Amino acid sequence: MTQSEFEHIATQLRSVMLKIARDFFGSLDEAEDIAQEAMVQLWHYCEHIDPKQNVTGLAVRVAKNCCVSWKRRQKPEDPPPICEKAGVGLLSPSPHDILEAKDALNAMEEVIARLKPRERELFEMRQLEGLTLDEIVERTGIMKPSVKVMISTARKKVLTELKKRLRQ
Amino acid sequence: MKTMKTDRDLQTLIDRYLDGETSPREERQLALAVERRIQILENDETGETGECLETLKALRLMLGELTLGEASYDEVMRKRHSRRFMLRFGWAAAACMTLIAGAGYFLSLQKEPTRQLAEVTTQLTPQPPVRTEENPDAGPQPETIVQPVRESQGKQKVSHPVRTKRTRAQLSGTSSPAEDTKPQDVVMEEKTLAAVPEEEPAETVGDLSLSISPHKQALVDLFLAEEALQVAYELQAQQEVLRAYASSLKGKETPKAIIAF
Repeated sequence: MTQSEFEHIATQLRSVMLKIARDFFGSLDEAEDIAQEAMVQLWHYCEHIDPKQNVTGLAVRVAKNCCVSWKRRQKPEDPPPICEKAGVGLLSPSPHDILEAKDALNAMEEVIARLKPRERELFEMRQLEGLTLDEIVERTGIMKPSVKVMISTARKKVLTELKKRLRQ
Repeated sequence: MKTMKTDRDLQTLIDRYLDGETSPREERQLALAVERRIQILENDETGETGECLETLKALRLMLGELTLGEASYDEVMRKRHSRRFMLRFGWAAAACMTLIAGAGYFLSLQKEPTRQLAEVTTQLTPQPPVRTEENPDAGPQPETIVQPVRESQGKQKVSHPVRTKRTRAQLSGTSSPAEDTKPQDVVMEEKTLAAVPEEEPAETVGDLSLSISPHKQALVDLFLAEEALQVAYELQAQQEVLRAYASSLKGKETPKAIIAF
């Protein structure tokens, strides 16, 4: 997705993110800040986004992650959330977290690349875009049982490969 | 047992995920559960969780970090909604209890004045003296006229028809003490009295025991006296019937009236 295409849908995405943040925080000021941070993260990632993908779904997930990270930043006395330990949605991650996240991302990309094209496509739809089975069926035209079987096969392959890499 | 159930549930969820049967919501729950389990296993000092830990870390990578963040978001919102629901439920329960208590107090207030009125009238009403042979002048006269107390707005002159109990013989002017006491001759006569100025509207029941005008008190006494008189007449009539029956059995003269007016 180009930057101009992203700018075309930026207003719509921002309103969705603002609503999520407002539901979470209850105040407009904090919601505005969260929406802005989430838009910045999407902006940096927009070149990797396929225009056919469900960008709104991705924007919702990014906004939710930013809300959780922002809240924990405001209350440092609370124990760190689970998602921060995994390096999720951090607004200012440490170098170690960045390195770990990069290694994990590389491992996943290599494993997914070994899948069959159809399996990879369905796996990414399900995992990255967060589409339901019905939405995948509607988009691809494949029957639901077949979609389920292909996703299951892809997941089992990825799990086996990742376990091998983690043992190494 | 609790740990075993959690492990079984987690394993079931993992199997469903690998079979492609989980929904996005279930996958978020799985992401949270996997992360919690990883933290427990990493803190485990026995070191016997190698393969299990690898599987869970691989699952965490597959599920992705965004899923985990979404799961944390959902958990925070769920806790917040349950807290709000408990608050609203608490307020609603308190409001219901207040309403019930208020209704009960209001009902008790409604019953309270009636009881007070009965107590006051019982205390204030003197018992009518009974006419006996020793005290022939006691007791109310047969022609006592009692005006019932009526409520009305403001001062008005009202004339009330009043019913009095007189025997036929008394009405015809040929009465005798013995005939006066026959219950079948008692006739209710209506008379129209002279207008009597109405009193002000009745005071509230709560003030009855504290301030009541003498005139009103006299009216109440008269009313109660008429009631007592009617009861006495009925008693006398019943006594006459009994004496007649007794005399018919014994064949003797009828004894004198126990209560004579």
